[in-house]
Amino acid sequence: MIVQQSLFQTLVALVGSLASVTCALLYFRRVRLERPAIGTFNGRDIVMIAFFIIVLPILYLLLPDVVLTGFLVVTFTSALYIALSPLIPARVMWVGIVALLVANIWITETLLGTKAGWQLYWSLTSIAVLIAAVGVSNLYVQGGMRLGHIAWFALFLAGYDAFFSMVIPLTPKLADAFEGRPLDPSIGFTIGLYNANIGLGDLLIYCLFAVAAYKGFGRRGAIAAFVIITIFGAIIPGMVPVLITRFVRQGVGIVVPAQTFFGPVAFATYFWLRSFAPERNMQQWFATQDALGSPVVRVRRPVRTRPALASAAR
Amino acid sequence: MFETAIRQMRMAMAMVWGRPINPRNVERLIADGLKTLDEFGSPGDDVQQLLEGPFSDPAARREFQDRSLQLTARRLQRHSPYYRQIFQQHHVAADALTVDTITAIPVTRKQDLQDHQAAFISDDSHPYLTTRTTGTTGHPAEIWLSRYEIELWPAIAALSGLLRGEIGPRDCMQINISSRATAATQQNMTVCRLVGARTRMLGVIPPAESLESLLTGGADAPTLLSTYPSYLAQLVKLTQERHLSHHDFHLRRVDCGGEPLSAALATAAHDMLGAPINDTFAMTEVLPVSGRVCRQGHVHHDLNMGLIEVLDLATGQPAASGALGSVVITPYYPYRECMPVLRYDTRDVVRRLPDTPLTCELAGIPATSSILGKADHLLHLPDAIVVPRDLVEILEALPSQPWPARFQAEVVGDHIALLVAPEVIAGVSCAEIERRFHQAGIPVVVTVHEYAADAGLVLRPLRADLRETTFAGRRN
Repeated sequence: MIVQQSLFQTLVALVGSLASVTCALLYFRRVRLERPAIGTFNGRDIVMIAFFIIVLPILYLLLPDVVLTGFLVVTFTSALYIALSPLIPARVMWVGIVALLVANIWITETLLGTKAGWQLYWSLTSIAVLIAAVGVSNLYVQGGMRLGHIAWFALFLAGYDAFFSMVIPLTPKLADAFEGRPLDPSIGFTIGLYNANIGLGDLLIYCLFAVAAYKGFGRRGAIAAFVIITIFGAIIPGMVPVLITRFVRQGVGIVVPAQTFFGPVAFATYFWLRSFAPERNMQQWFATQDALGSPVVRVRRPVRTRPALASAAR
Repeated sequence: MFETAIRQMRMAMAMVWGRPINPRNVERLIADGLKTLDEFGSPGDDVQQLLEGPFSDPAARREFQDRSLQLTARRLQRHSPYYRQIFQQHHVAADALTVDTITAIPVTRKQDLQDHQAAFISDDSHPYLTTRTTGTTGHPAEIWLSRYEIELWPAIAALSGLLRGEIGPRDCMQINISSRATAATQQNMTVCRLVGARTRMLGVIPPAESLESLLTGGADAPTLLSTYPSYLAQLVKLTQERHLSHHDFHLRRVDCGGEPLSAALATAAHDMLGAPINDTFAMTEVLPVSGRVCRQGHVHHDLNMGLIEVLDLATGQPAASGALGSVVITPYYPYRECMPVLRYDTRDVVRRLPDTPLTCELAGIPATSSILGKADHLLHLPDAIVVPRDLVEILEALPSQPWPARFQAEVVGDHIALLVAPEVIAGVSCAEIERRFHQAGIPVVVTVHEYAADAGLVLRPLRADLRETTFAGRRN
């Protein structure tokens, strides 16, 4: 039974990870997101994100269900807006976002007693989470986050994931809290007796790593990212319960600290890539993108600076 | 990224609430701007909106102006002995002051600054550095600045210049303005320091030495030049004499201000030096409010920092569309702290533009015509007013290229008697010059002053004449 469950978990994690990473890379090549007039990611921003990663799960566990759902609605709306606004006309986009989130909440409240209901729930949740991971990872990398930042971040998460899975079981409790709730932030699926998923946090790190590796080191970076995500991000975390039974929780599936396996390898991969060439910045990426000649989608907002009347200078 | 957003928020909140803006915070934003340029090669998408403000929207502009005026007036009432008395005399309620009611307050003139200097200094500020006007229109006025002001102004200028691409770490700025203009020189040098650019502070030294400086240093030669139009004219003439061309310079922009810059000189300077000439407006008494001149020749004042009025020369009321008027400026708090002025009459004359939407590259910011000259230098003919710029434009467009144009003009009966230096008529007759003026509708009789070159005080005062000597210059 545990072998089949692990295989199913591996399959879901693999499909979820690779689909997200592929979409994030395609998005990065074709879409140029808006960025603020001043500002680029730096080490202190990563520290700030790490702080929220530590605090938010505790907050999630303490919040009443309704508030937690409200929080998730705001989070998903923002992430979906970031990802979709350059691609879809605003009116269509907002209708789509509202429909997706409302359908997810409605199905959670009414259809989760059935197998088809679960499958529909996971399909809708997975679509929302995939788009969110693609949008947010692109926002960060296109905002100046570098592979070096992500490598250190992944190393931090390796320790964090291990500690909060094995020493203080915060991650399993969080997984339980989200299970069967609206807008579970994971990509997952269910077939027969098996239910498996991979969390948005893990997907976000994989997408960030892959996009930043491609931006910083080109094709070599992208290939390296795909290899380590496949092996250390999906296969090993999926199959490890076969060897280590402490990750198996009676009746509610498996929760493996995936970053504990992925983080150190991601960190090492960054230094390996850097041994070939210095990491490209966004300016160099723009030049490469222009040289490729492929069409780039940009956000087109209405011009807000309209001509003034000359006499307005009184 | 996150901390940059917090810094921007802090600055915005200080501006909105009328609290002092922390210069250190602005300096950190400059550092963020440098990192942004290093990573992306250019600022982000909203930079234009960030720099120019919401001034094309009349309602937003009006709301901003009223709020800024009230903040400024409240502070003046509390801390400026001079304006406290003015408010009492004219029954002005600072809290209710608006763009419409500000006309109840009389304008402040240069003479007021000179007569009551101590009363203009705020009682809650500590004067730190004094800067003087050059005295081209009479006795110089002395303006005291606080340490806050001399830290804040360059920081804001550096941030704006960096985001507009006007200055960067690879630039080298040569400064050929009078070293006695302490506010301007200090500002230029600090701007360079903050963005990591190099500075060559030369002052108004013999033009040959400045030209040599522009030519030396290879790739590290000056890329920016800050000077007066009259001094620029001398550099251009010298460039011609030495048969140099734009290939010999590394300049990417020349900033000019303080005098009328004629179209003929601007075009020649652009061709000879290979860099666009950026005509600017700035004045010691109303710092840090400044203005930029667009390609259509309008002056676009920075409405973020002050209120701009154009007052009719005769009535003192807002000038009608198309009429001549004097520019009156009120720098807002928290930009001006130590020796603030309210409704300062610059005596700089402009023409109020017609009430039609602008079409220039700075169309988002309201504008006036270019500065046409000082109000005290206008020539009142029986049926017309001739502004100094009209004379400069025509003289500097002559084939003799008399740059900078030295002349003296006065009204005699129904015409203008124009006294010009001998170099003005080289290759052209007095009759030809008179014909050109008549074509422009200006009746002129030209006389040549043989000793004009030695009689600088008789002729139009030029800032290039604020010459600072060097030992090298004396040896030559």
